[in-house]
Amino acid sequence: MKKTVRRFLALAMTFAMLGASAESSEVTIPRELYEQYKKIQTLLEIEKIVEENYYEEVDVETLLDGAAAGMLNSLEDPYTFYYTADAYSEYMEHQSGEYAGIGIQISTSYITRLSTISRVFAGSPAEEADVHRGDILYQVEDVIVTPETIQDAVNIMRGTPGTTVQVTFIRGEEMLEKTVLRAKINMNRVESCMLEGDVGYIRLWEFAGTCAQQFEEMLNSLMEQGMKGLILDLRDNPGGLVNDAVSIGDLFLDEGILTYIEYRDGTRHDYTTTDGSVDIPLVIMVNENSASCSELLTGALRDRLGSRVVGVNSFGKGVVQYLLPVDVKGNAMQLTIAQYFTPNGTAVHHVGIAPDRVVELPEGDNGMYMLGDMADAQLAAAWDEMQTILK
Amino acid sequence: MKKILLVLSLLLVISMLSSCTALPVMGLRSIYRDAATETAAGTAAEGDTVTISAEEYEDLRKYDTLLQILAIVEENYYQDVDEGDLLEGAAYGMLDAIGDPYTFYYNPEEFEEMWEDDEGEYGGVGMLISANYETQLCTIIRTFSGSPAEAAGVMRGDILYKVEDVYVTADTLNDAVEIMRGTPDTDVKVTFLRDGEEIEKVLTRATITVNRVEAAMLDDEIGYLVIYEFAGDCADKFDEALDDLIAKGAKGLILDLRDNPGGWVSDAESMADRFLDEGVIYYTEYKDGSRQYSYSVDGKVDMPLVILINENSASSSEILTGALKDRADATVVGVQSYGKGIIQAVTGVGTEGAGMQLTIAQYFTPNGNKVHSIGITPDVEYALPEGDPGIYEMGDLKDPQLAKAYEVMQEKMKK
Repeated sequence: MKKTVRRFLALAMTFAMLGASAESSEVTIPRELYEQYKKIQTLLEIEKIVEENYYEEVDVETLLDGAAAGMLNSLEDPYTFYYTADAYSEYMEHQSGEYAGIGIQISTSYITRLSTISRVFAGSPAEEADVHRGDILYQVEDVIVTPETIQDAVNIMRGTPGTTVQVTFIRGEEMLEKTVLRAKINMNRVESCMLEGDVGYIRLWEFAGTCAQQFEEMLNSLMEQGMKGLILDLRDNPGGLVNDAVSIGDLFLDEGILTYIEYRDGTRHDYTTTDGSVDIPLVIMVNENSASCSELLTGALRDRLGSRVVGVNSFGKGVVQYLLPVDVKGNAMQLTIAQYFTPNGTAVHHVGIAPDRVVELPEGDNGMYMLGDMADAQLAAAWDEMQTILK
Repeated sequence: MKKILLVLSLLLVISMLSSCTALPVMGLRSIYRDAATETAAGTAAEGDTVTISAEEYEDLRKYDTLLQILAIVEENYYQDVDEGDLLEGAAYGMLDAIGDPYTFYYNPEEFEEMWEDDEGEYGGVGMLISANYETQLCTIIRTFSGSPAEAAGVMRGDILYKVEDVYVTADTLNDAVEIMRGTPDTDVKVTFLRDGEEIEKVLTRATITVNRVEAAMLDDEIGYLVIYEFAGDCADKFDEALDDLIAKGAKGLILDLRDNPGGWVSDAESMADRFLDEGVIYYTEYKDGSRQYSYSVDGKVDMPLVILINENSASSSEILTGALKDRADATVVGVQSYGKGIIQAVTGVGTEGAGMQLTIAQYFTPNGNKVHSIGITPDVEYALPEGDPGIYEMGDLKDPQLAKAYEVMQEKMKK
């Protein structure tokens, strides 16, 4: 059965080549392909009923896109979904290069269904408009923000520099409606400074772009300044590319496994680090928004170096996705294909990483601090932890 | 071959959605290896072929993308999948995509249950719930007399907040209802919101008999008839109740359609016909502009009518109200009705007992008034005073709206 399923594309395409020469009003297709088509008979029936009877005109593409989206939604995995060709090309455009927007990073919970501002970029219009970390993004123009509409909301906020966008936030019990300017946003994904007592501090916001290279440069610069220990801050880091996590992990690790992923059939693939590492004590900071690659890197450094972890339990996204086109029209899907584990074989999905030292931000503290500000209670605790190690 | 190469090169595309996505470069093989190597092998089935019409083939080919997704998921998803569930999900998604809250798919179990509901007897807790798709809130609009919900003090206007571990929204209401139903004498934990306060109750399921029609004489001359829903045998029950009221001397009738969400149009038709001679009850308009008229036949009960409606009176309630307002000189009292002026058809699909509901037409009152998104405007606007949740015994004249209807009827009968 499975074999047959896999062959779908091949079968369909084989026929496409044959079909070109067919002129009669009948077509002959392999039985195997015909059997595949039988699976969608009910859908075709529904489509016909709708086309004939629905009280308004319905576009068949809408129905087919809906079917594809519904098929993937039925898996009830928030990371598996369908992109229409339009949505996909839009998404790809946004991935390349800079963007114009209002300068916020958003974290969406599929459980509470809320989208929370996890970062306001320095010098951005959002900062100018007094948007705070922890504010809930409620509405963008006429779109009420939910996990389903967040991409639409983001698309609306992006646009031509100099234009404005109407955004409503919820802070406490208050609704704050703001008109925010769009501008070119400089997303600095890595920031660093030297703290008191020659303790280096690097904050990594996302595993994307040139972050691995920037990270290495900053690490070297801190080493040159005589750093004795490093605090690696992965709070609010939603993850990104596995390869960036591997490159950054490799800076601290000798030869060995950084993480491994396991497919449904139990086969496993290892991501490995190579020889040659910076040998320096590490304290890692995580919070409830540290996800995916952040957890993978934290798990590896803790398992293999015994790095201390400070903060609050991390998000718990321990699954890996592919993004891939599904046809020549440009429709695409994102699919969860594997689970990953720390080198010691600990699962992260739905669990997260529990810190060695739990430090929550005091109630009402939105965590908006300047880089390296020791008034930040979690950072202060991490620094304290480092002092213990250095002694 | 060309197409496969294109796909492979696109695969190098990188993913990094804000919600944390990772792209391991390896593993690509597991998705496309088979497709690539089996292009040649694909013709292995040569000789074993099926001939179909070009038209049918064109229809089927539209689903290549969906079948491709199905194949990719079955091969690569990180957990076991069930093909039937995926195809069912596609059916839900297809009808969902239309964006009409009244058009949807029923899987075989849901479809069977839908028919059971119509019969009016089930194991449950005995509440009628109204879901608002805009606020997503689900409000209790009635507790059946003698039901566990009534016994537990559930009140009209309470918001259904949580059933066991399911948070109730318009989207999850079906799941919640499914949980509340079950074997009599078993318990279910239900949380309501009342004035912002959470009220948790453990309700014991019982066999619920849904009484959809109730009637009483308000005095020697004025009959009162409540229709809660157009379902099951309500049309027969309506006839019996009406005849009974007439036998008891009713010279005028107050018809209460408040909180009646609608139901089968045929029931509304037969009820309307009781008060109408030959003519139009309502007409529907299809997408091609064609119309279909529903006619009443001769022989009517001729008596003054007052109809009570509120913001939850919808669909068949509005058909009945519209017909009697336009043609039987009924006076409408209460609050602007819901405004659901579209009609659905329910049909089975496939071979496994699944079904679907589909909006097929808009309807209009005999005078050509549109109801959809508008509702029916009462002749006498009369809302419940603020803070009055409208929980009264059937026929209790302390109910301000009923009292108003009664007053209007008295005036009417003087003429």
